[in-house]
Amino acid sequence: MLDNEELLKGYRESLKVAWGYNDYEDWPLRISSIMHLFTDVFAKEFIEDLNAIWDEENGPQQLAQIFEYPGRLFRLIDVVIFGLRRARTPLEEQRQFVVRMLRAAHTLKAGDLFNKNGANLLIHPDIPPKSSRKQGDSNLIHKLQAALFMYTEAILFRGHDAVKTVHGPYITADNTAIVIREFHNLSPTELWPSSLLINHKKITTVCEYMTSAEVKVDCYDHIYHSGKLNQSLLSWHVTIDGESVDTEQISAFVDALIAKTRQVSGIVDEWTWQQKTEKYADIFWFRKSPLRELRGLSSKVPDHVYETIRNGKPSEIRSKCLSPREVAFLIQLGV
Amino acid sequence: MIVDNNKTLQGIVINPGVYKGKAYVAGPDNDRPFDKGDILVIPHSNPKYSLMLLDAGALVCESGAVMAHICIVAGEIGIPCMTQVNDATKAIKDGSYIEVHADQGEVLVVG
Repeated sequence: MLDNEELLKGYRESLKVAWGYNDYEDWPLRISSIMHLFTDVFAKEFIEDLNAIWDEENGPQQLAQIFEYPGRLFRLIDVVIFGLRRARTPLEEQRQFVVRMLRAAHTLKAGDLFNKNGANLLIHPDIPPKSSRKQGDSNLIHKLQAALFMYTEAILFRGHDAVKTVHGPYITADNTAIVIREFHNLSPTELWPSSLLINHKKITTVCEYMTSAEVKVDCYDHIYHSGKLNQSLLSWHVTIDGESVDTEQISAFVDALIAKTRQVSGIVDEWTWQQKTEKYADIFWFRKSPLRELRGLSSKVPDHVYETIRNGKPSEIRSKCLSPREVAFLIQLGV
Repeated sequence: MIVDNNKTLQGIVINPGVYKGKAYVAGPDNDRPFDKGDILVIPHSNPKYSLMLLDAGALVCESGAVMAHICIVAGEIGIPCMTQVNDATKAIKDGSYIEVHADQGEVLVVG
């Protein structure tokens, strides 16, 4: 296992790539321009909860159990750090937090913690046997994955790590690459009326690709590929709430996802920036709710956060794109 | 870089491939329906545009990086996709014929 300094160094490097490749023209509004309105409270609660459950012996395993996927832990780090910095939390405490999150993520992984080899390998991936995987219908399977991605973006904005994870590629004995996309918590009635959500909780797609697709997954669950995914698919297996489904069911499901995405994004597009920011706060609290609930505490956003949003305004400075130099500077300041 | 007459715009390749067709330049002022096979030209990511992508022949994005949400969706669907094509929504007229040579990182605006 890496020591603390090596962990922090690896984390800084991973952030440079993730932030450098990410999109700053966020929908429904630029997240960096409104985070100052709630992340300090968010971070304070997160640290309190984390410290309350942490013990040096089982802390990493316990935290890993709560969030289940390493990408989810990785994606929570920088938003908590943003809040800790705003609250002027001592650097040592910020570093301790990052190290704890990384040690928890490490317990879930079979490969390199930072996916330096381009593989996000989990300890016990559920890979269906070759005999149960189907062939053909590549366009439909990829359309399903695209539709799921759109739907999760519509209902969770940029906080969709709470409902989506990508792991693999797992290299098979046939020298092919298996990539697993898991979409879970797909019906968060804590955030939206059930009429705007699909009726299923979890959808998993397992895709076997030719290695020529050159699929890579980083530690934030981003999937990269040099080849064309839909032309490289060899076999697939899709489950909805644990049940295998056929192409007819998938087609109907894609239509439902598209309809829900259109409905939700249409509603959000009509909102004021305050309404969008309040929903963002709801989404952030939803992201950390498993930790809060473990302590038997309410996972709702405190009322004073909504008040701050209603009385606040977006940051103009943080509405602009950061240059690579500014990104590097922020990372140094943070950890 | 923009060249006059047959303009060539350059950008970053997200998904390789070549596609030629009619441009649909998305924006608040464009209310014409999106035709199946149109090349979607957008200023930035938005779920509304992602939905159009399901019927698009290619995607040209003015801003956003490799991990822009709409670029991930384009990668899943498997259509040629380029991003950071500067001024694409200004340089390309809605309805004009364009060629996306994503392998070379170029968009040719024919007219």
